[in-house]
Amino acid sequence: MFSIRNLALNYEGEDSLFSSLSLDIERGKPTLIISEPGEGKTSLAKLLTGVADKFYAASYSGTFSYDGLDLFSLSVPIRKSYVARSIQNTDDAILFPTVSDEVAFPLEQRSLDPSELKSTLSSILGKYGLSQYCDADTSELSGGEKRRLNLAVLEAINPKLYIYDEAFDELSSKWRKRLLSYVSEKAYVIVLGSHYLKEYDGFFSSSYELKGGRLIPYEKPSISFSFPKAKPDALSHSIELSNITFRQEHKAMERGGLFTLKAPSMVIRSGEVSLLTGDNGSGKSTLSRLISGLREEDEGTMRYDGRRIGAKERRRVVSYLFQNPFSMLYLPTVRDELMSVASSSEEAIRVASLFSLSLDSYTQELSYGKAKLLESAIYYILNRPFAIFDEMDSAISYADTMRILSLYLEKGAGVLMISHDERIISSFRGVHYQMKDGLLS
Amino acid sequence: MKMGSYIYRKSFYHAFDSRAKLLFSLLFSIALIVSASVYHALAMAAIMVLISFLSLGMRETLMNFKRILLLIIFIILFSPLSMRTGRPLVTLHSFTLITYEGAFYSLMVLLKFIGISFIFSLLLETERMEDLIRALRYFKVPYGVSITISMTLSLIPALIYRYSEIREAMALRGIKGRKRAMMAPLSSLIVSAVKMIPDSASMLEERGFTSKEVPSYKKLDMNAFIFTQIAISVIIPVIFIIWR
Repeated sequence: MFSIRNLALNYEGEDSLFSSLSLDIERGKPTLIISEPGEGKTSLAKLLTGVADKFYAASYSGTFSYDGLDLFSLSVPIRKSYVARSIQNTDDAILFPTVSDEVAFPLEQRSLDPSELKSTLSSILGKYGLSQYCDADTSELSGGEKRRLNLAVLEAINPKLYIYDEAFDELSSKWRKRLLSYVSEKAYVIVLGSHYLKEYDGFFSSSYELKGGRLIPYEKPSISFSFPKAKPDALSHSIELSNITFRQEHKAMERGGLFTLKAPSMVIRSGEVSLLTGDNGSGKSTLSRLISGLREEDEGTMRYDGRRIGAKERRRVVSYLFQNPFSMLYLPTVRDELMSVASSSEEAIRVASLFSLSLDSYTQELSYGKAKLLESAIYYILNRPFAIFDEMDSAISYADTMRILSLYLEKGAGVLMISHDERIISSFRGVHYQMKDGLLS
Repeated sequence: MKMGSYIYRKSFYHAFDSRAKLLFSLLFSIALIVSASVYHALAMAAIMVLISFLSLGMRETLMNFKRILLLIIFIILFSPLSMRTGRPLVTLHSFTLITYEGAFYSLMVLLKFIGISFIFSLLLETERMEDLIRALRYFKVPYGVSITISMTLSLIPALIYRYSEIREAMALRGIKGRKRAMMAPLSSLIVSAVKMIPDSASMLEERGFTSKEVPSYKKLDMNAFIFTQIAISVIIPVIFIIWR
């Protein structure tokens, strides 16, 4: 059994994230820990694997043991045989330029003999649907594929205790179910999440909420939400796609290097919510980049209120909230980010409060969920007629997702929402687009 | 995130063994550095541009030029001014702006710079990073050093990618003109690069890295054909070193 006793953690110059945290993780009894962004889920994972104090200037007290063995006394590379984690921000986790090398590295560190290593590598790549990408450049993978790569790496480390940090986010429904079946095969498991997914029903032996530095029993909430209604007088603009084709080359790949996206028809109206779903790597983010003017179509037309609109102008009417919010953030503090678009400091203060942000926080130190809120706040100030929420619901709570959606709709924006969440999909009533292998329907 | 620069093609330079290519790149660079004549340096730079064209095509070759264009302009503008003594080439009233010696020196710097840039761009664009690590390990470079070199080489395209992300973020916010100054992306790039250090170090250790030698899952073979490639990759640069 893994045992955590009286754990306390604080980063240099900051208040403690938690001060007396205790938890037992028993064999075959997966544990769920839910919390709002910034409560310390990722820090807890970093502390248990041994990197919080070694690389991120954190200090801690308390004990962490496995059947009486003091794990805090072990170095990080030794401790990884006992505990390892998947990483929430998959971009930060990638070490090597190719998929096979990324997964092979931890296998090499286990000093497996070459034939066993090759068969294990092939089996893990197959298990996570990455065989076809084995020679692909890791940077060319979609968000969900990067997530699967990160999970494949965790599988290659093969620890006793698996910590899945928001590992279900960005995965399609099919892969969420598959991951859950993989998780059920592990002896010791902690899943960290920002909201309770429908797929979790009946799976966890114990569930906790990390709140205010304490672990408290988590009661499964009765989640029922309805999509907010737009103001009727806001329905005045539209973006229309017709016969769009876009080709993109996977530069490093021998097989299947060319991805083709086709969007025969799509209409987004201001004041309305449209839903876009599809498997990982099907082209949802590529389509979003086209609509928001970050890419230019090879063929077809896009019209804004009936008038043909080019990529440059699309950037002024469409807000694209990236899947990875850190891609959008580049200024030192929350204040700097908001002031780069706000007309006055009063507006920046008001919006920061609306999105539960602290103006003096450093952007690079924000949790993934807080970074999503900041990204939403920036585009809220910009007040564009259209917005694309690329998996907004990952890393933040349902309540926050719906609150942000309401705020945008109140301003009359048309929102294209990309999601893998079954609750959101099943409760959605409106225009639902699906993407499959690059084809929009 | 780490990134590679590899571009898949079926060219003769892609098919060249990674050890031979590594040796060729190092020795050809030395031959260019010690080059003393314009024709010699021009021939060598032209060979590298030609190899780039034959193995990657016109588009990628132009992209390689585009990446170094700013530095080429700097060399053309400022390098001639650094050598003021010698026969006057361009004078303004009685003041000598550029000398023949300065122009010659600049041309040499320019040719060497283009040649060496292309040698290493081609190395990274025609060879996968993992094969370069294996080549380094074959030449008995310690495992820890090979990994460090690989991390450093992937850092450069990763930072270029981050820079393009920042430009996209700025474009989406509609920031242009004075606000689109270099300082914001530059400071963000520095922060990103600094942040990558603990991130990469922690990722390496969490996967079990200790710099102790571990077996690689792919072995590099040695046979007569590869030996011939290695011999060619040594002989050609040596000829250029002798000719200089």
